[in-house]
Amino acid sequence: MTKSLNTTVDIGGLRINNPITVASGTFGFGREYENFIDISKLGGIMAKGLTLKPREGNPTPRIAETSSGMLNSVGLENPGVEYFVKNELPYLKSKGVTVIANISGNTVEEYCEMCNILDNTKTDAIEMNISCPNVKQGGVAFGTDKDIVYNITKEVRKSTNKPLIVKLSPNVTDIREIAKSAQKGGADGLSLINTLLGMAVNIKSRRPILRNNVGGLSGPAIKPVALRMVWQVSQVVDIPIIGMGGISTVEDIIEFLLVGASAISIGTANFINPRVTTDLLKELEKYMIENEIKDINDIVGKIKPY
Amino acid sequence: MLIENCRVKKNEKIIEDIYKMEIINEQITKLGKAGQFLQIKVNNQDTPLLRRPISINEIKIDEKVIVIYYKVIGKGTKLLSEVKSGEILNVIGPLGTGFETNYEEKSIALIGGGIGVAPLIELGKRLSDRNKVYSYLGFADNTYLEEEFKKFSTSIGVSTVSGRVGYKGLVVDIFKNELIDKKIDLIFACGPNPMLREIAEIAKLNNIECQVSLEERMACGFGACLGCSIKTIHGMKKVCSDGPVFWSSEVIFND
Repeated sequence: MTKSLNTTVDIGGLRINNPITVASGTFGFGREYENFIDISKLGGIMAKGLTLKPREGNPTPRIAETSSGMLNSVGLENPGVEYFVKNELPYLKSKGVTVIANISGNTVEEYCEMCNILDNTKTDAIEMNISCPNVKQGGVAFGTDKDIVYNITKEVRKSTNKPLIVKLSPNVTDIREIAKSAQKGGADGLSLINTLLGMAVNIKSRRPILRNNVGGLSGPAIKPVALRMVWQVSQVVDIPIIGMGGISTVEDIIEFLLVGASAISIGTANFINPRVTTDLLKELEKYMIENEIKDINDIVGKIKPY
Repeated sequence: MLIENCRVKKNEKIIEDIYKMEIINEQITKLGKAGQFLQIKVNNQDTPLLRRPISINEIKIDEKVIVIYYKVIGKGTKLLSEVKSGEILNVIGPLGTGFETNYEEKSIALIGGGIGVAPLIELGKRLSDRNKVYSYLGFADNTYLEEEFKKFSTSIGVSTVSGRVGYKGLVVDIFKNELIDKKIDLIFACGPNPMLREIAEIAKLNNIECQVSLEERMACGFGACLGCSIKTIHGMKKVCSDGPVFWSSEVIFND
């Protein structure tokens, strides 16, 4: 970044060099993108969602394409938190990457145990996923009830000294209530939104395209929903928001910052253009120069609503 | 792997819903191997959002041309079929591991089903220098590419489900009848999963090494989305980056 520009942002006590991060589950553990970009340039990497024990995930097909979007039902396939700490984290840290570990549990105790394991590592922050739509236990089941969100955040808060970011589900009646509960429970920041529960059907076979029947919708199709939710939540909490949902252009990033996100994550767009993150970083700098924005924080929440 | 804007040299219908496209790119022709694939963005729009994974079917290094054959199935491949000569497509590739081809003096069976016959062309070309290649091609109704296979095959068996050409039935049946006589000691197969599963069983029963090229729905094509994970005896593997070619003995086929 040009010296006169400030792109550093704070996401709940964690300062990152720029507001561009990548959404968990779209970036693996970073290695897959090293053929394409310098991953240390990113503000941070939300690593592939981890569970206490390894998971095989759901049967295939796990992917279905929809208008301006895609459904996935991967189901948290991952090698487990201990494998991550031993084999993936040291590598990412050696590359100078800011690493945000994303965790999912079947029970409150599992979340706490994972935090205990991660707390003694060089993980920079923890993103608590209470919003995965593709697993039977835990996941979104925790994220849709405000009292459960308060309790789980409070308990997990006690298990870690790292910045704690809670990733929220859009599959709720009023996301403001959930967000307030997470803040009250001690969250340092919020990530929103996770995928929207959806479905696609093959009319010839009369079967769902996904083997799991339903899955999480992502991509440009969900951007308006994500923007609306970030805007609503930013008005009722004081903690930083990481906005995500269908971002693929620099204009998309600006929209999210204007409605109140301090940082953003790029997700599905990585699959189509594996260089999108570093491309957009350059474009963001250009946008700042052209629009005389010296500090990216100056536009956060600066929407002028009617 | 590269992200390249490639010029389309030719795009033409072969039969019914099968198309042949020639794409110009020097780097990809140099790096590409039989069994690898490309991720092609069929337009610059949000719909279709994802790239289309399509096998590299033939590489013409002198002409800097990659040949792909594809079947029009949905919106994405329909749009691809409408691309004109001279247009530019954004392509990621070559992706995946490709076939292991370092063999000599083997009696090799290439078994292809449907659009799965196409990835075996480049493979057959490379293997036929130092091995005997027997090709077995299965189709639903219309056949295509037999002339290409004749160029390098010692013999060819063709089947159609409809009976329009060749043996009426499944290609695996022709292969089963010939595998002893031809002393087949290595199999390469590409096609629908039930076909590959049957071939894997035959290979196991007869103690023949067998490589299969698998297909799964995927989003990225380079190992990030985990959309195409399959079960193997070595744990979960990604069709896109650990494959698409696997030893049939390591794959745990779905029911």
